[in-house]
Amino acid sequence: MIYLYLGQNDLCLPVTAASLQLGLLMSTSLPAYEDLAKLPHFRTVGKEDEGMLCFMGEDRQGNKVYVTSVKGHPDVFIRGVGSLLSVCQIPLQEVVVVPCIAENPQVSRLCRIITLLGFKESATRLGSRVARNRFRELAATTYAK
Amino acid sequence: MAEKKIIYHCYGGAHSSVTAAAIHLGKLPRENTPTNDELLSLKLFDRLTKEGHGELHFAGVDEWQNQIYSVGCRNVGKAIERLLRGVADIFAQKEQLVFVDTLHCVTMKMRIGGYISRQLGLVEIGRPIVLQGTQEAYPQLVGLVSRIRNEVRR
Repeated sequence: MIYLYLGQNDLCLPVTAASLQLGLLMSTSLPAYEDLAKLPHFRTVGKEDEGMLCFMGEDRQGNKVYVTSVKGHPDVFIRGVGSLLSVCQIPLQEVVVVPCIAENPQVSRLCRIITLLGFKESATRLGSRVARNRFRELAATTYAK
Repeated sequence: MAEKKIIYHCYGGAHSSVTAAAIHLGKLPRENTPTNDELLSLKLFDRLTKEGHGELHFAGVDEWQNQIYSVGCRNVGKAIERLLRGVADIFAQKEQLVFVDTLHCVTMKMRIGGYISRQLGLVEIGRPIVLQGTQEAYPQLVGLVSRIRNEVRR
C-alpha cells in the first residue's frame, strides 16, 4: 500500500506525519526543533517541486510512504489521484492520501516567503513550530490510519 | 505498444479541454469552426462545476485505441501533472500518460465567459460569450490536437 501525505506550501506537516508512521518520531513525546529539522525533506517547497513525490521510506508493514506539497487546491489533487487510480484500474485502497494542511495556510505561505528572502533557518524553525503545534493531532491521525 | 491515456487539461475542464478532446475524437470537425449547437452537444461543454475539478472525465477512444480524457486543474495544472505522473510511476504506468495543456489556446472571451457562467453561475450571460470565444480559439485548438495526434500515432 502507498501512503501519500499531502501538505500545502511546505513539507513540514506531511514529513512529521510520515515520520510518525515510519517510527522516526515517537508519538509519546513532543519532538525538539532539532529532531524535526533533521528529518528528510523537512522544508518549504518552491514552485518547481510542487506535486513532486518524495519517498520517505517503508513502514514495518511494508507500506511505502511518500510526501508531497502543493500550492493550493488540495481537493483537486485528492480527486485527481483517486480518478487516476480508477483510470489505471488500480484498486483505490492501494493509495491512501492523507491531507496535512495547516489550520491557517497563511503560516505556510509565510514560511515560503521567508525562505525566498534567504532566511531558510528561520523558515524551518517556523515550520517546526507549526509541526509541534499540530503534533498530537498528526499522531492521532497517523495511528488511526 | 501500449495504448496511451491522453489527458487534455485546462482551468475549469469545461471548455478548451473538452473541445480539444472532442476534436481529437472527431466529434467536432477539424476543417471548419463548429456551430453553437455542435459545441453544446458535448456532454461537458460549459457544464462542469468546481466540484468536478481534478476528476478525469473519459471522452472516448481514438482510432489507435488511446483513451482520451479531459480534466479541470484550476491554476495548478503543472503540479497535478507532476503528482499524477509520480503516482503512475509507482505502478509503472507513467509512460502511458500524455498530459496536454490547452490553457494557452484560451482567449480572453473564453476566460470572461467561463468565469461568468461557471464561477458566477450566470449561464445565460456567460455561455454566449464563451461560445464565441471557443469558436475564435478553435483553429489553435485544432492545431494543438493535430500535433498531439501526430505524436501519439507513431
